[in-house]
Amino acid sequence: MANRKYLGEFEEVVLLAILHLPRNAYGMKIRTEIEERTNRKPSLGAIYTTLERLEEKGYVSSWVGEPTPERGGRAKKFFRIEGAGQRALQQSQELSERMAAGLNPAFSGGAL
Amino acid sequence: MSKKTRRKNRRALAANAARHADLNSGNVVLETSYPLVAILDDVDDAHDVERFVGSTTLTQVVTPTAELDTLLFSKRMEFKGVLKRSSNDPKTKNMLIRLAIDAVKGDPEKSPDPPQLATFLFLLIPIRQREHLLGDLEEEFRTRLVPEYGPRWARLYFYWHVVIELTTALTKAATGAVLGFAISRLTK
Repeated sequence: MANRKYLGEFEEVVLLAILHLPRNAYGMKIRTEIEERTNRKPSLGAIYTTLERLEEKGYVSSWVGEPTPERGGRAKKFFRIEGAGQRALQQSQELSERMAAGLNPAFSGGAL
Repeated sequence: MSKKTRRKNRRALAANAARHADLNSGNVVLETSYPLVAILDDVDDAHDVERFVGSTTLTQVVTPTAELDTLLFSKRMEFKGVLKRSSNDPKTKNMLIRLAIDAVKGDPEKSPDPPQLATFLFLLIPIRQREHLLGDLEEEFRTRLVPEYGPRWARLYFYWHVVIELTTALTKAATGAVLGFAISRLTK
């Protein structure tokens, strides 16, 4: 499982959300980003499970920030996308484009 | 919601607002101390409240002194007088709650705490990122949910999340146990 090269749909969504949040990607922000862009409301647990899996695959790395009062003195765990993650994301996008090519015009090219 | 509960909620909001004011060291912001408590004790006409709060108290920042006490007392009396002359307006309660929420908005440290029982239940969930997850939920509770929806709904939301996480963890554990049992039976 850990050596799987392709990305799951939710993994892709989480990686893209991290890309949208340079240097400020942590659980709550990632969820808000996904919610705003997709109208989905994933649970924080689902996001952390996915992040953990992505970290095991080497697609993202994390570091722990300073504890803050609004979090009840708990620290934030920030995530950053790594080179392997960027490549996996690119491959996943290319795969979708290749599969859609030649179908209805709405599915091919830049539409995805 | 019963009248008693509504009154209790308003008092809780007022208490938070008052606490917010007390913690502003050096200065007391009138909008968040006595007048709000007074407003919430005597709910009446929205226009009068708005006029009073808008023109007289919201913009004032003063140093706590004996003069201030006198000033607050006189203002409170004046305000009560305004309220007594007013008629009942159902919209007023919502507006007052909004005012109280505004008073705690932007200062997460002073907003209500998430429910302790839910936090405790969360600690029972066997997931590795529990601390960070709990921190995220608490941050969301203080910075987004309380200002937007009020403490009551924010607490319900917090509980709801604990239920979701607890259910997911229990389902995973149960699935694992059933699969483990099935595999052990098949390999015998």
